Amino acid sequence: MASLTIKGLTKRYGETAAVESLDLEVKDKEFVVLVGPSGCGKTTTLNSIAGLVEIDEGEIWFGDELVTSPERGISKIPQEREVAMVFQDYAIYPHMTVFGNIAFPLEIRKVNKREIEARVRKAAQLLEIEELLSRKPKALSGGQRQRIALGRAMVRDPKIFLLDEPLANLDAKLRVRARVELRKLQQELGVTAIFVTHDQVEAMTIGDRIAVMNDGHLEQMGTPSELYHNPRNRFVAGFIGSPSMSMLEGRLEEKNGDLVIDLKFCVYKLPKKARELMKKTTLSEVILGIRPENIVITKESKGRRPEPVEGNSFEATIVHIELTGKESNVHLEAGGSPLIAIRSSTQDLRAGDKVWLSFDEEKIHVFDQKSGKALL
Amino acid sequence: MKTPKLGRTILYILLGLFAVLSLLPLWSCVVTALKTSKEVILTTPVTFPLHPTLAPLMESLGYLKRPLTNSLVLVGSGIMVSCFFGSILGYVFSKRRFRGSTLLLILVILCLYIPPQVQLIPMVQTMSKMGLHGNLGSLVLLYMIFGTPMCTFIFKTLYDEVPDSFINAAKVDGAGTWTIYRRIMLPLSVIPFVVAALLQITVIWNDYIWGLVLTVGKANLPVTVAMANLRGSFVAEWNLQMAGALWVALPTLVIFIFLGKYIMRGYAGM
Repeated sequence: MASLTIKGLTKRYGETAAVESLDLEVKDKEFVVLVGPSGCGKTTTLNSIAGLVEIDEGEIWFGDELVTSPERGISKIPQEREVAMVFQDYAIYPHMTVFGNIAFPLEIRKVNKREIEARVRKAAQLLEIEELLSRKPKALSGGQRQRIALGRAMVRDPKIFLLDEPLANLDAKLRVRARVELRKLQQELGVTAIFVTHDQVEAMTIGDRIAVMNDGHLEQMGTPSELYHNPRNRFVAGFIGSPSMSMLEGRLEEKNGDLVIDLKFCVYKLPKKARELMKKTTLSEVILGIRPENIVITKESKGRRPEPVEGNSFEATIVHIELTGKESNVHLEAGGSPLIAIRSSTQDLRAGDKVWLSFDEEKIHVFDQKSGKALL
Repeated sequence: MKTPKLGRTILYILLGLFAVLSLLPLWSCVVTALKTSKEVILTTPVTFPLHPTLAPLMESLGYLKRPLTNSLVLVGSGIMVSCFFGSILGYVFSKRRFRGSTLLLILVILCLYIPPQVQLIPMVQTMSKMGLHGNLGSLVLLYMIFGTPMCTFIFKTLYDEVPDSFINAAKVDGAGTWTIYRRIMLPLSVIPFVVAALLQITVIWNDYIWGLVLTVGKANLPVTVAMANLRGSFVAEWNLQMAGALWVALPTLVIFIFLGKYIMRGYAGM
């Protein structure tokens, strides 16, 4: 019922396109995250869905109801769309009590007083803010404000929830808790939700599916695991995952019947499987990508080189070691290129040490340097 | 550390001197208003009255009663109408921008910079054609119109501080333009209303030229013009004039003392 379909959405501000021919499909009761760096068009997309900005081209459907289509002259005003929105600054009206804030959309719709009272109480109960109802929002904390904003969105029973970075203003600890609660709430209410964030960790943990946007385009849409393990291009690969994927520039070549990538400081032999998959690709400049957890660090023992793993290992220098708690991020440098690896124990490693690196063959990624498209 | 201390002392002496200089007219006004006509002639304007009397104050109040009421009417009607329109226009210019609205706003603000001198004759002619020349109605209308650009500007700048998300949230929640104004903007407008009203009070209350050219007859005069008429025809009755000036200055003086910070906000365009 409350699915959302966007076809070819384009929104221009003057000469520059904030969003360009965006296609997006959100299923009923799905939690979809729009993620991307700032200025990528995610908020514009959200505002277009809400009807707060007029789009230049494309169509927006709520279920089988066409709400926006400049070609057909249809543009429902926000008031007529059954969406609720939570803003980054929460937009809590300072002159109303918490009750007044939550009741506001109902009062405007001329719902009768007893019904308003009942619905606001129910929402407040669910959000555990009952004791705040008679207070003015001035002295409330970020977390409480966020709940009020959610309450105001909930009371209307909207078809679609639009959330514009609602967790950005919370402190780190609260954010993790709010993430879980928000997800639980969405499932309890059984609503479709579209959540905008620039934080890929937030996107990965909260979304059923994630739409990665960049420069007004949709780069890839898929489940968190799809995006992490099978990024369609270099941008998605670099954006999703923290610490991010290490990227090494090189040239795809054929040597003795093997497919190799010449990284200048090392000739990396691709596994047999890659050969099959990359049959059609022409030899060209490529990028070898590897996630931090798939880099194996071996310590060089006193003057004696450890056995190179199938010839695919090379020397690197440790630049810096960051302890993140359970694990450490090891910043390395090999042939002028930076790499990041994750290791659970780094007691044997020191900054400045020379070490040997090898990659988990199954987990390497290869991208075309020009188009950025994933080749493997 | 010696030089700054010395500098500070000199600064305070200078500031004190300036304070005395600028308060001198007020002092002179007060003491003269408390003197009898005879004492005014016999003493200097700064000496304290030997036989203080309230007679000049009472007499001038009697004369100024009607003009004071007139000015109150002007201020009241002027504030209400120009604040009302200023607030709505400010809302439109700040939150409901449309094609050409910036140009329109610039035109509205330009109105503030047209000197009254060039408008005197056209205004008198216009008011005459409308049949309003000579009575208070002309001034009522004039201040209502002349106050609106200033009020629009004040409301616009203060409404700019209200986050756009308030408006967008209300829109998504189902509120139309008018509901948003009434339920969101208006309750948040206490400060712009105070600032705009105070500026209008001082402008209208202190205005002289428009009252002089547009109104005729004591019944129609605003207080500033009536006060000027207090000077006698043959002899200057300084005590009466000063007492009148006190009555005229009193309301604005009180406002500046208690609400001056709001006026500063208005001038600073905050």
